[in-house]
Amino acid sequence: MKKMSIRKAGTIRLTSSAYCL
Amino acid sequence: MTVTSSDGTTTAPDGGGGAVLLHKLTMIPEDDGVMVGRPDTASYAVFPEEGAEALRMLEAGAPVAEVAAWYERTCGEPLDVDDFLDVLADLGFLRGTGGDGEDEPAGPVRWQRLGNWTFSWPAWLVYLALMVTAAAWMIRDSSLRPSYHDVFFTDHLALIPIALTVVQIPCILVHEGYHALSGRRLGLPSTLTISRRLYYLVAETRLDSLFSVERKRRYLPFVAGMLADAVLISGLTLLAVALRGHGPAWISALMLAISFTCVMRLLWQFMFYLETDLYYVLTNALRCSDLQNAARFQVRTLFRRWTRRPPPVADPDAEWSDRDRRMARWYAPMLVVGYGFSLGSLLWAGIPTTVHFWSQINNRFSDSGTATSGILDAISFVGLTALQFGLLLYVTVRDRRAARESRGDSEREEEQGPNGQEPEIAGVA
Repeated sequence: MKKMSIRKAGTIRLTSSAYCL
Repeated sequence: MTVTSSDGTTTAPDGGGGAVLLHKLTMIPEDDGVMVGRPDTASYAVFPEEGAEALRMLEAGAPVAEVAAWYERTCGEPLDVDDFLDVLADLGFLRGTGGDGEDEPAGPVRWQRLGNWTFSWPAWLVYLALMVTAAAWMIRDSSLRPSYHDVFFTDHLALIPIALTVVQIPCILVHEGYHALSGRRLGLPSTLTISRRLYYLVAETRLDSLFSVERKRRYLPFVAGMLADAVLISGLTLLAVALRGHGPAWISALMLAISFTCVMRLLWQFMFYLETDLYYVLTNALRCSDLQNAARFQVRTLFRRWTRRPPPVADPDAEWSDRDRRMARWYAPMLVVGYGFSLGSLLWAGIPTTVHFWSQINNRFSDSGTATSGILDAISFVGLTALQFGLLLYVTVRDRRAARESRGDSEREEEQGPNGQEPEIAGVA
């Protein structure tokens, strides 16, 4: 029995620095 | 066996050959397989080509037994059907067999028309005209060029941090709003929250749904925030010109001060090692999908080897593509240098500045001769600093908890089979 190789995707998180250390 | 999908409905994929119902899925070819996912729940995974074909057959109503027979004929060995269906349930791809299992009719996402309008050609002409005109003014008049002097728009120093904090919030929302609108234009949902990058507090638009469109269509959503920053800088500079000689001088100066904060946030995007917008542009061009975590894992592995400790355990579901691993060899040293630079500047400038401020504050509170304005100045600084550290602590604890729950879930699945529950992540919607 073969287990299918499935890879979870990364994430896409677009940011802006928040009064900028 | 019975598995529970993420929306709580129950199916009985016993591998016995019946049909299964799937939610509406998108499929985008990638280098090493097919990106399959649900934009409405932001759940995505890369399947091998034969896995995607099996999903297409299931979507078309083929019974599981027929798909399994096709797989064995094509790949030369039988598929572990139970495991395959478990993964689909874990990803939330399976629809329940109960009456509530019907997909909601997918209406258009909100603000799609505004998204279309924001990136229409007349809008681009306006953006271009603003930027060219502002650049021309900056060339003609050196006082309009961005400079740290712009921060000091008033002699009332206590007002500066408060004013800049207040006026920055709408600017940040415009930046994030442009990311969101560029997604809505493509019919994709997004969420807004606050988060952390190293020690930076950030506003964050989660746009995982971009995995539902091909790579070349992701660039505009990636750069939309920086476009908004550039348009804001141009608009505020021209407003400063228009307001000169009208009303009090500080209003024109305030426009340049706000513009300067936008310039600083635009420059911050170049710190790509913090997973900024430019990081996504670069990794998309390199056709990577999770370079940051692949590189971090390599750095952790190397560090543990140096300290003669066992290597870290990778999340078995988040194995990286060969391309991510190959690129991570180049990217990992840059990541270390970048983090070193950021932490070094914190130690060299950030912490000494903060300590100096706090000692000044302490003197003001303890010195009976301090004027009321000095006390107010100190209170405003204490309040703003406490707010920032408080938020930073909140997002750190929240993300740690979410990661721990997510790890706990996958460990329980290993023992008992999947429960598919996603960790609750508190966000500011």
